[in-house]
Amino acid sequence: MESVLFWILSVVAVASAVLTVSRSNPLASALSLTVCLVAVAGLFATLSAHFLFIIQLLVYAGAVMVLVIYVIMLLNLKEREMKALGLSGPRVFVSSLVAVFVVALLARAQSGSGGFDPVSPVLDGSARRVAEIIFTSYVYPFEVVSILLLAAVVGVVVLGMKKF
Amino acid sequence: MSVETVVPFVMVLIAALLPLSLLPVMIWAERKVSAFIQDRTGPNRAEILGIRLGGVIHAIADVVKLMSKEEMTPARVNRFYFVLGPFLALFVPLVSFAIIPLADSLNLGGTVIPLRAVTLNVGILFVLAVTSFHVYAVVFGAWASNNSFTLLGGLRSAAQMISYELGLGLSVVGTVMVAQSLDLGRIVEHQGGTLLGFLPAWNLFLQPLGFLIFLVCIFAETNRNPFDLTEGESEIVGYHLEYSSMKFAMFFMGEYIAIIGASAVTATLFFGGYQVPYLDTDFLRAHSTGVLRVMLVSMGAICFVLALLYRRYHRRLTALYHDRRRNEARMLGGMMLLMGLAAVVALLFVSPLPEAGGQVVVAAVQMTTLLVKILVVSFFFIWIRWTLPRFRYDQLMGLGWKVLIPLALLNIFLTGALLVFSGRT
Amino acid sequence: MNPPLVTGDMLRAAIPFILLAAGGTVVSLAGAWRSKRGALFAALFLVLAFWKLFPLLDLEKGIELWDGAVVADRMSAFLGGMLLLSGLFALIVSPPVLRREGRNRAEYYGLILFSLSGMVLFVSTTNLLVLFLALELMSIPLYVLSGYNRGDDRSGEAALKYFLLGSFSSAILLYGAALLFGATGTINMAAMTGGDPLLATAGAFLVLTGFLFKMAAVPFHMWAPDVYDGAPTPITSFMATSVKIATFGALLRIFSLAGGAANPFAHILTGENAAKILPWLAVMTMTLGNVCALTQTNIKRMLAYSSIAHAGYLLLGLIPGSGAVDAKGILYYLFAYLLMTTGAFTVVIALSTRDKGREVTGVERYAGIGFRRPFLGIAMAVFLFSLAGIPPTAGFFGKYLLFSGAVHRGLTPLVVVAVLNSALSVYYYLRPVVVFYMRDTDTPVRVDDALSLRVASLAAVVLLIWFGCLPNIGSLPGVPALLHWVGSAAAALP
Repeated sequence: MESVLFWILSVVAVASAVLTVSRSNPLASALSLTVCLVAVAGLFATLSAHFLFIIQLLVYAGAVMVLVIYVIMLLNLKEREMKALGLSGPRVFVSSLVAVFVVALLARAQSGSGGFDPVSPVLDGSARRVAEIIFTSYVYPFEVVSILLLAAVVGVVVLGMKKF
Repeated sequence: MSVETVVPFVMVLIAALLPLSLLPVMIWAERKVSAFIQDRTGPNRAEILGIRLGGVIHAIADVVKLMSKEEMTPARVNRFYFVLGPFLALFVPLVSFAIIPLADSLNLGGTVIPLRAVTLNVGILFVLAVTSFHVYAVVFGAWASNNSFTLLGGLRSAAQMISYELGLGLSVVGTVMVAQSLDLGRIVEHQGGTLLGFLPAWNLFLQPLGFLIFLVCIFAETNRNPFDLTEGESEIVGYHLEYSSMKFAMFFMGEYIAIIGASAVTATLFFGGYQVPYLDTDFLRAHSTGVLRVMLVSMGAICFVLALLYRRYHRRLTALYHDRRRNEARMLGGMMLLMGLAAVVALLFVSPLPEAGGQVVVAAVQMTTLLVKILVVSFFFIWIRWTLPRFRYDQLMGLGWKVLIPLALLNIFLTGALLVFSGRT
Repeated sequence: MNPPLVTGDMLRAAIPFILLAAGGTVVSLAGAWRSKRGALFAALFLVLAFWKLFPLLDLEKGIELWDGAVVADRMSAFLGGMLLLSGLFALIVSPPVLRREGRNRAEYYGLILFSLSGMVLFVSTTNLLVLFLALELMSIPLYVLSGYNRGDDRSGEAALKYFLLGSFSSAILLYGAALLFGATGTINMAAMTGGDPLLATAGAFLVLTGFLFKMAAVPFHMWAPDVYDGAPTPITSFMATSVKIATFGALLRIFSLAGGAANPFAHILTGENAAKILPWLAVMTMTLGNVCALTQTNIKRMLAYSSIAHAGYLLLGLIPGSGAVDAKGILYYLFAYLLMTTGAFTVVIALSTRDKGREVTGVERYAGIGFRRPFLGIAMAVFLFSLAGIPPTAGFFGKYLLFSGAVHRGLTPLVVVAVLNSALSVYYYLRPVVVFYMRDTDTPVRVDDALSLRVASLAAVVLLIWFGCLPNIGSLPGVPALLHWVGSAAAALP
């Protein structure tokens, strides 16, 4: 059951990721990316990381991608302008070369660590466990993240201010 | 097939069918309540063989009308996204029902069977995630219409929904802190019992500020008045301008399903969910036979009263009109009489229930309680719509960002402080 | 019993970062009341951070916390001190510029503090996660600040270019970090062992790429001239100095990670593969920077290319050759570079004017300044001499240390190239001086006489010469003292 789910989700994730880069309509790309993110969220769920699963849905698929689509809609590209965004021969060649390289690299590293098993052991991915880790061993990076976000917000406000 | 495998399927079925079957009720209620508030009679013309059911038949008429209308598709639209919008609008809200615990878990000889379609220990976040997906329906519908006005309308309501999602998410944090869990089941369990001896321990009383913020945000999320700028057709063009016939109907139905879903979430988070006030699950289970008797007695009594009322109605109709409108009174009165008799007969044969049967009866009682709560909150939605005027867009954004979010943060802080000082952490 | 949440050590180690981040927050918040005193508030926090940083300079043993998320030792303290100095210069020279353009807002200074907090973090961590976060924390405010002149197209162009390319480079660094984590199973760079060599190599080089971008090394330098040119000059000055200090500081830490050959990350970067690549990078960077600078007539672009060239010289110190990384040389050079670049930009600020919203910084406009404004002329001459590496300035001494160190490590051919490059650079560094003193025009030049600009350039001149040739005088620290600090900072590395 779990391994079937794993394969389905992986295929969906990879296929939608390919679509993300290959479609010339940016909205189609964004939608494919959303599907990809949802599929990856599903993979998290099969790893029993429920909190991560839902946060991935909530933050990436639900919020970040909406903003991306929002911007795409505001730009409202013409058909003609979209043409340039599609895949052309050299781009396909280079990107598949990189993809093959990365896959080979990961496969090599995987073979070193004793085979491949899509079904993971059941881990504790509950919110409580995640919170424990974040607020003890990763408390410092966590706080840095909040400062980072604050800085970004201040920056955006500065750029977006009506007048100085 | 054991019970453990059957129950989840049944639950998925209920979770899918409950909102769909409440849909005509909601549409009817919307029209009738608005009529009541505006001192009108409301819809009462459509009939089948004289049966009008106080206007419910209009729902069928509406469906027929919407389906037989001409389906217009604007020129040069992207068909895929054009269909995707209404499709998402209808089906995304349906999903949120899957996470609502409909009754306390069955406990059959040690195996616990949760009575909900999806059991997830981060249930409340699931609700938020589903809500955030609703934006896609609006965005795609608006963009695919190939119309600048719908695009603007779509951007407006997408911005609205994203903005209020923050307040929504923050307002439930207090609830989570009180229950110490993200699991909706735990949150409902926590609302059993009483506060100070006389109030039900609902989050409504534990989290009044959180409830208020949540309520406002959920109104904005479902695009309901006073936040229904997206469809304020009199002053602003909405995102579904270009949709007609069934595609429009899907947006329309989606809105009501969203309201039902929102009511269910509100009831679950703040009104104790399936908890019967003052009577917790253990008490009900211990007295399951008595509960069944009380249910049958009250059902019988209600049926008899209704039968009497229909009889009187029949007399009046006979005196006034003497036409086939009497069919309704006859048929429904007879049905009520039969049901009342059935209840009495059943009452005579009630014997002490076995453990499992008792639990099922209790579950039925709790589901009914939840249903009543959902209907009450839905009524509130309708009530507000016909009472309050609409916000202007900048007022709406100002309220969301400058009032609700800071208040929600304050609520989190207060809740935390109270929890720490009362030593309940 | 749980361990205490906050210990004295934690506070001591993290306090500079905390103060800067808190300062950024407070100063930005002050902007809500339209405070015109943002620079003062920011300077207050900066000085406070300085004061708290000072004791760390004498730390016997480094403090390491949260799995390497914070490493406070003499190295991070020295680098932090330089970064704060660079920030202080930015706070001093910014107000006149902003005031004359009517956009003296507190948020500007808040963003500088945020950026500084990221840099301070960047040089004091061995944790890949924190490294990435710190990189973003230092970069994001800079993206915004380079677009701060919103009326100016070039400022917007600078911000957009910097942002897009910077995001890509951050993503590359992050991907490398992920691969490294995948290979070794830890995000603590100091604790990495074993792992798949190929995966780790790919990861290490991707991380290095992120760094090369930030320091504007060839072939990741293209953004620098446009960004340096378009950004408001005080920000250019701040960027050119502090980002270099932060990147080289962090790289120094990575190149000399504990664990030696067992640590794949450090081993790959200091090993054979890198030994083939890094010298070429250094040579290309310094040559391209110098050659391109030759043809520039805009002084900001010229300084931008010169900063690329200096990145090349600094890379020389990172090549281990037959010894270890030359931390001492790099630190000293960074110190000199900080002073001379900031100083040069300060003079540019004093001399720049705006024409239809655009900043005019062409060299030809400086004709005759040397006689009309003797102080500015002399100051600029000192900075440019120092950049060119002419004694008795700190720039010369820094180059001497760096090059002699390289010779000791058996990198003589590289040093020859570097010396040739320095000779080449004299040509374009001296050209503004020639224009200053040898040409004259009748067109009046407006000069900003703000006190803070004079103070900043005077301080830079004095420090440059002081730490370029003077011995310790009484209790006043001179070159030997600086060398001592640099040495003890370098000794803090494992």
